[in-house]
Amino acid sequence: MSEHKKLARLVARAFYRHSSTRDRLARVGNAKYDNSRTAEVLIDALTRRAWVKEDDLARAVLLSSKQVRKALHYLEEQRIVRRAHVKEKDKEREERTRARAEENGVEEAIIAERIRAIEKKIVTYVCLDYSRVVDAVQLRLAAAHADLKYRVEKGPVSVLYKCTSDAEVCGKRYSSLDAMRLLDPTTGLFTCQVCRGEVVQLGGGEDGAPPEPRTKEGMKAILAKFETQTAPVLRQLAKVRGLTPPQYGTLNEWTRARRRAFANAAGNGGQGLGSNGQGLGSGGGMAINVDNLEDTTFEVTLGLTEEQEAELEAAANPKKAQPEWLKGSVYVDDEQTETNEANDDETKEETEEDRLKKNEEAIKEEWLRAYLEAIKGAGAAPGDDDGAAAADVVGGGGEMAKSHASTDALVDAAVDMADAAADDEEWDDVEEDWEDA
Amino acid sequence: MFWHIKLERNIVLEPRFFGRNMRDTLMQRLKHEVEGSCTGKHGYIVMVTDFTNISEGMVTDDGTARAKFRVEFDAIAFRPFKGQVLDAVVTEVNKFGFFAEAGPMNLFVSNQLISDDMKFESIDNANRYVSSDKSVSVQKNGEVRVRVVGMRIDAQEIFCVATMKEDYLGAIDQDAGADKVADEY
Repeated sequence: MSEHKKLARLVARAFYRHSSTRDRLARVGNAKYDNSRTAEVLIDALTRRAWVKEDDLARAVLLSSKQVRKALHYLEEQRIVRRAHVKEKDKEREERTRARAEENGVEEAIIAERIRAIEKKIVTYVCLDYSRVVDAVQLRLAAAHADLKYRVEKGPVSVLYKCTSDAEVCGKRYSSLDAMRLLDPTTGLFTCQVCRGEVVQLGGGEDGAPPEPRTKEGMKAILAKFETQTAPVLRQLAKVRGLTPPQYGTLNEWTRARRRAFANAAGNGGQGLGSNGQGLGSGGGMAINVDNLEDTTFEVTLGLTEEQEAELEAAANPKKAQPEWLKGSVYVDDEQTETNEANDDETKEETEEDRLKKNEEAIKEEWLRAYLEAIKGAGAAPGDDDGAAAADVVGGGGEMAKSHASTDALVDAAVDMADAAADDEEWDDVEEDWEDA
Repeated sequence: MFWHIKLERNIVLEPRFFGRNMRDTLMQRLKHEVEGSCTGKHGYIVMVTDFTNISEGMVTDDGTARAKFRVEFDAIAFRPFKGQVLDAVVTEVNKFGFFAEAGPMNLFVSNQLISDDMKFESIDNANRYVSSDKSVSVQKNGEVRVRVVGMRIDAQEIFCVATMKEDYLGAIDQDAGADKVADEY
C-alpha cells in the first residue's frame, strides 16, 4: 500500500474517529445513532477505490446510504474526500418501468416514450484526495501544536487557589483575579472568603496528583501528551514528503480516461505479449495511466520514463531521409566511394554482433516473463483482492510489453510486484475480508 | 493609559444652595462625586479639568424642591488595558506573590509570573523576592515595572493581574540610578 494510503487510514483513526456527528446527535438526544468510526470504515474502503458512487460504497461497507452520505459530507468539509454530483439515468427505474409495461403488454414505442420521460437522478461520486489529506493534516497538527505551545508559553495568567477546608464544608476555588479579596491585611496571607480558612496555591502535580488543568504544568502535560500521541502521524507525514500522491483527477477527467482505457483495451486486447513494438503511438500512455487509476490495492509504476518517451517520439516521427545534395557533393571521387564501402562492411559486422546481443536479450526476456507469470500465480492465491490486483498488473504488463520491449522495465515490474505483494500481506486485515465479502 | 474625555452627569442640589455661589457649589459637588470613582467603561476618573456646559436647573418632581442640573465636563481618566506596561509601587508581599499599586489601581503579580530565579524570602516578617545573585529584590514600597495580563472590572474597582516575567520588566533599580547620579557629581 502506498504511504499516502497508510497516512489516510492513520488520520482517520487519529482525528476522525468520533467527530462526524456525535456531538450533534448527543445534543439532539439521539446519541444511540452515533456514527463513531464510520469515517474509519469509509476511508479504509476509499483507499481501495478511486472514484466510486456513494451508494455503491454504502452497499460495500454494509452501512445505510444516509449515514454514509452524512459522514462523507463531513469528511468533505474537512477536506479529506472530494465529491462530485452528476445527473445520471435512473437505470433501476427504467428497468422497473419496462418490466411493468411488458407485463401489461404495452407497445414498445410507448415503453420507450415512458422511459424517456423518466427524470435523470442526481448521483454523488466520492474519492479520497490524498494531496489534500496531507495538507489538511499538516495544517491541523501545526495549528493545534502552535496553540498548545502558545498556551504553555504565554498563558495561563491566572493561578488557582483552593480553600483547605473539606470539600463538604467549603473547598472553594479562586483564581488570582480574586487575590485582592483573599488578602488578609493583618497577616498578609490569603484567607477563604467563605470560611476564613487557609488558602493554598494549586500547583503542578506535586505529591503525585495530576496537574491541575488550567495551570502551567497542566498545559505542559497536555502538550507532552499531544506530542506523543501525534508522533506516528508525524512520522507518516515525513515518509510521505517528497512522494507524489495517487491522483485521480476530477470525476470528469477520470471517466474520460477510463473510457479511453476501455477503448484501448478493446482495440489492442487480442495482441498479447509477443506483439512487440506494434501500436506504439496509439495512446499507450493514457491506457497506462488508467491502469494506475484503477489499481487501488497497490502501486505499480507503469509510467514511461523520459528516455522511453523520447524513444517513442523518435519512433513516431522517424528522421527524414536527407537528400543527396545536402549530404555532400554528388560528384564523388573514387577514393571516397571506397572508404564508404569499407564503412558499410564495418556496419555489417556490427549488425551481426547486434544479432547475437538480441538473441541473448530475447532469452533474458523469456526468462523474466516466466518469472513474472510465476509471481502472478503466487499473488493470485491469497484472496480475491490480490487476484484482481494481479489481473491489473497482467493488463499493465501486457501494455508495457506492447509499448516498449525493454527488459529493464520487465525487471522493474517484477520487483515492484514482489514488493507490493509483500506489502499487501502486511495490511491484509480482517476488516477488509468482511467488507469484501 | 490616560484619557482626556468629555462626560456628562446629573447633579441634584438642595434649595439652600440656590443663589449666588450655585456654580461653585455645583463644581465642588461634581468633583466630590466624580473624582476617584471608577467605571468599567472609562476606568478611574482622576481629575475634573473643566466644565463646558451647565444646563438650567429643573426642579425635581419628587416633592423635595431640589433641582437637577445636567453638567458637561472634561476629565482625565485612567483606564488600564491588557498588555499595557505600568510602573507600580509594591504594597504587600507574601508567598503567593505581591500586590502593587499603580495610581488608584491595585494589581497582583503571582509567584508564577515572577521570573524563575527570584525566590521568596521572609526575614523578621519582612517578606521579599530576591534574585539568585541577591542583586535585585522586590520588597514593600519598592518600585516595579509590570505588564498587565488579566483584568477584572467590577462596578467600583478595576483589579489587574500582571506579570514580571518578560524582558524589560522587573524591579526598577533605584539604588543603581542613585549611584550613577552620585558619581556624576
